[in-house]
Amino acid sequence: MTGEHFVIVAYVVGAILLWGAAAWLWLAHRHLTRREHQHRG
Amino acid sequence: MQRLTTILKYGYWVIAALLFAGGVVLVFAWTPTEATMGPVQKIFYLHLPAAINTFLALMVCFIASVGYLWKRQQQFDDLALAGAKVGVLLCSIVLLTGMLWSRSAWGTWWTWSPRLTFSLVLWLLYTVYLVIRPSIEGQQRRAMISAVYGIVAFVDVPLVYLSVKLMPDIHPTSIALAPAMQWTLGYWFLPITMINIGLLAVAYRLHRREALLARPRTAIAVRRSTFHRPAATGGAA
Repeated sequence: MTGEHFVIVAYVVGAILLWGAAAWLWLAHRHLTRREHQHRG
Repeated sequence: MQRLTTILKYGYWVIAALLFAGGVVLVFAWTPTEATMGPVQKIFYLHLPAAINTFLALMVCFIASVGYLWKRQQQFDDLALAGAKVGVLLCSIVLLTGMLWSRSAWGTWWTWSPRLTFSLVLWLLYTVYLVIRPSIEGQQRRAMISAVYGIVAFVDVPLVYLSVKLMPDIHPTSIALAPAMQWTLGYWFLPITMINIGLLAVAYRLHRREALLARPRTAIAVRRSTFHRPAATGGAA
């Protein structure tokens, strides 16, 4: 692997972790909203 | 009013995503390659802002832990948990990007230099915080133990920062950057700080809602234990 490949891997890993965490939290919120509706019902 | 809040929330994440994408374009298409280290130096534009934001997220955990011990309010515990989660996430990025840099620049994935070791210890300390929390029984007891742990674990943050200055270390203390490189580095603080703040806010809100949802069940559990207690006490006596 050349230096450029390492740079690409670093930014891909960073993007996956950051945006993956954001997506995971968003899904957790959606799941909780559904639970709240069931709780009220 | 609710529609405006939704637009602002989505707008915030859209701006963060656009800034992130713009940063990637800056790094690969505009910023010159550093003469000594070559292309691998470009990892630095993600590595350093992630490291500074790790400290910020863990400082939120520390301040909220102090706040909990002072005020004994559940909100502080929820905020401390959010800080620890985001801190571990950002610290993972710092360690992974650092390892990639290390492999390319020094020929090894890992070296036990003071800064790298203290950074790994930091990641382990807060991972243990997240793993142990759910196993502690009782909301107040969990919050209390977590707050004390959150304060003690934060001692490692100044060690990570100062280790490179106080001890001989292979990790660079500072890198001379051309103006274009300085601009790119300054720019990258925008999307990473925005994502950090956004994740902290979303994680905090999620923990608040979970705590409020858990409350009626806790009340039922308390009522049940109170109902059964006289019989158990009577049997023991």
